[in-house]
Amino acid sequence: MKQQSPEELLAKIEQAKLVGRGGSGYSTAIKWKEMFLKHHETIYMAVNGSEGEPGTLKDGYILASYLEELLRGINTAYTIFPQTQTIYLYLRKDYFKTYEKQINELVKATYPHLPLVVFEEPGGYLCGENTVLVNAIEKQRLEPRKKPPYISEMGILGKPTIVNNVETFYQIGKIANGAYHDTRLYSISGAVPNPGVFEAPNTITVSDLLKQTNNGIEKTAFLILGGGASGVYLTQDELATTGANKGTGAIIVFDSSTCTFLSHLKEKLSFLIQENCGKCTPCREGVYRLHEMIVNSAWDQARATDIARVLAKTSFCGLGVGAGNSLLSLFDKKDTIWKQ
Amino acid sequence: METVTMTVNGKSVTAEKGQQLLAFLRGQDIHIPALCYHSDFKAEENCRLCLVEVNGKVVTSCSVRIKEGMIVQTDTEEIKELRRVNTELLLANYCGDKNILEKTLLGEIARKAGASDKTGFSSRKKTQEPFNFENIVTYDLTKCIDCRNCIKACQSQSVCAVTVKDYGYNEHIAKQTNRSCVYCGQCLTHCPSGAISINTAMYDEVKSLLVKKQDKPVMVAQVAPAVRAAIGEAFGLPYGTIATEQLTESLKKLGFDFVFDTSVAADLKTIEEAKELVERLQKKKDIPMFTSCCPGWVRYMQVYFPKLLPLLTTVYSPQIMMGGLIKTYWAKNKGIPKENIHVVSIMPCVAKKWEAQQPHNTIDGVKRVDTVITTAEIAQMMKEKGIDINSLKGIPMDSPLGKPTGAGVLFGASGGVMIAALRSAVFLLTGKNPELADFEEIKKLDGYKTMVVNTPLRPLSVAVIDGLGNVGKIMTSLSEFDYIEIMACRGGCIGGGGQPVPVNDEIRKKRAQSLFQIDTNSSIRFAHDNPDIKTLYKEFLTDEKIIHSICHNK
Repeated sequence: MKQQSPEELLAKIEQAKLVGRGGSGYSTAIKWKEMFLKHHETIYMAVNGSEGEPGTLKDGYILASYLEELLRGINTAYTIFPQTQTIYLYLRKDYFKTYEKQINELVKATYPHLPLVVFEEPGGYLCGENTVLVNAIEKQRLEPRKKPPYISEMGILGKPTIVNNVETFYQIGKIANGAYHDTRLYSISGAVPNPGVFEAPNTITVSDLLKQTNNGIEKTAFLILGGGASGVYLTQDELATTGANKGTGAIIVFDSSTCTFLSHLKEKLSFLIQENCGKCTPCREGVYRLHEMIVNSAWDQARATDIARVLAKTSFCGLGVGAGNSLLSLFDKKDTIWKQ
Repeated sequence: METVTMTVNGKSVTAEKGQQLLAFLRGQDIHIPALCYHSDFKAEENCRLCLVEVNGKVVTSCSVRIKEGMIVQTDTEEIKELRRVNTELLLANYCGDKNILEKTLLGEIARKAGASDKTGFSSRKKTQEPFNFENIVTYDLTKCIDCRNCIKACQSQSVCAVTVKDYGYNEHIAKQTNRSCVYCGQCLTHCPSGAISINTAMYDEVKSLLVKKQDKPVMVAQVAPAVRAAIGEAFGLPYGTIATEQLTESLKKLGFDFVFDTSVAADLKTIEEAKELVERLQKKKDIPMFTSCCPGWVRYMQVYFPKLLPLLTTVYSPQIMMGGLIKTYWAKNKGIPKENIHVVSIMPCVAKKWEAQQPHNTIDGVKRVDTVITTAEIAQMMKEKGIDINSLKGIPMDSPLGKPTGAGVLFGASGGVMIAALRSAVFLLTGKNPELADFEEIKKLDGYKTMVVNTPLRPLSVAVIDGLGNVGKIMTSLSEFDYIEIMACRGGCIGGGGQPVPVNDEIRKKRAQSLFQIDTNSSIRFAHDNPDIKTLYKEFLTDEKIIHSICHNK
């Protein structure tokens, strides 16, 4: 196959209507074209394999099964942006440990010209946020940065920086190859018979996805769509009308007969309190107080709703906003989920 | 400047495009609460209180730049509710005294937001240990609300002695390893919750000495120039009100026996420093010469630029010189043994406490200055005793160390030391006073000012810096200068860490303006023309040896 030009590749990405797979769903073509037109000097690139959103397993799945495709995608990006100084393949600790050697060997064998550095993520959930990723690579405090400047203008070492999710690069590799068919990877976990990662159309509904993957669920099941920390809650009667393509593509199924509202919340809040950076008031104090109310058996729903609202509406970064919205969605559907 | 039209609370207004929304709204007299916002530095966007609605979306107004057609709502029910909840979340951690809280910015914001301190939440900070810097500045973390202004203030001074450690609800302010505090006190004046304070040992000592019935030492106060321009603020007077005589009367009411003006020592320092400058210029040695009246700067130099120490003037700071004069010249004239005198400096400064304690700042085996009390502390002491400046007519300071020239008073504002010294240096070189004595270029408060002054010797290149954060700007071009004034705090002493809060550029400008006004209105504007100083040289400072022991540290 003849070498494709950066313009041709960008046109293909645009045609494919690819959106980033890290969770926020931003158009990859818009992001990359802007970079392509505006910045001809040194840039940096990061392939985000932080995969901290609970229930999301797809980046690990790609690393385990489709490493060549991922590298093809990264190489495609490098063809479009040959001015890239370094490409950081930014992996959460367990992925780094498992795949570092293998990746380096494969790069040497297939794309030896790639300036790729496999980088071990220093922390948890928050480190997947794009500006925290930049801080992590620069060895600064692990918390989000103010925007502007946006990292597309001033990211790693003050240079324009592209950050995309591992799956986004994987799909770009398929786009370059003509093998992309408007699909994404869904991670299904929890109270299901056949958990795992499945590739399915972007347009599929949740109920069809569950059916097609042989994941029949109990009558008492409810689920989180889009990621365990920031996803929305769905009750059974919403599954047929809801598209599965949300957030990181994670679906976690729970059974309301085996957990209570409070035990479910406790699990969720224990995660959020661990992964909190401390920068802004609603996230630092709000999550702490919600968690405290649970462990002290002093749950006050009105106060909790107040706090979830400030989380959703006033948090500094997307993680607090996501957590707040997820909690509000849970509070909203609580009575339907635990109707008995 | 491009103006745009936007809507604020239903009214059409014009504004400067790109201006920060928060600053604009406050300029329109609209209440926008904020804890991590201060006009001295970029907002950290941490506190999430300055919430407004822009085009239907809730945002923090500190992070929004004004655009054409924006529709802004500042007081919807939702906005009020979100502000209240965030304020309550912050308030829940505050462990301090409620009466003290009332007087802080946090207290004011909480009151306006209708935030309850009865949320039932217990403070997660109760057990956090305080830390201090050499027993001068103390951080009480149980009152800290994590706004990080102290870190910003310290960074803006290029000191970086505090940082944030740990994450999430464990996050806390801590000392930065391998960095030393210079006691400028800027963290203190930028803290919205009163978590940072000055060690009270000196305050308590002065308070108890003033009421002592037996064996009370002769209590002598000396008042720094910048104190007079800010003390009134603590009693509700407009920013920059001069209250020298009311303060003098207040000090007498508190129990001080004598009150002198540190500005007189500033006059003496000016003469000695001008002499030293001319001498160094003639010998072409140790140039540029740095001023030494600011202990924050001296400490900063000691810690971070020790190699430059030989360039400091050898002349003592005014407070130390005044202490020396009181315990020698004045004590002898009065017939009081120096051991029976307790000198209290009333200073706009935290670092003056450190300076007074330095072992070399003694004379004949006694401390030149015994204790140092800041402007904010003396206001507090007055309030405790029920003394209100507003109800006093005022009395002049005591003689002979109570009448400064305009030049001496200038020491309180950035550029003042330079102006005073240049006036006297020109006199020394030409035998007559310069006609233009104002040197307007170096009166501006913009951090870093330079000027070339013509003298018969040669044109002198001088620089004036306020704010330690601006020191770096000059370090690569030192050889281009002859004389450099540096004040640790923005605006000089009028913006000192011991001054009342709040403080910002506007307030500093008003305080500085008042001191410049005192100088302009003075009948004597040249330090060397001060009759008391002339007498001093005639009667006491009669030979180099005694001049040296009183005025120079080497």
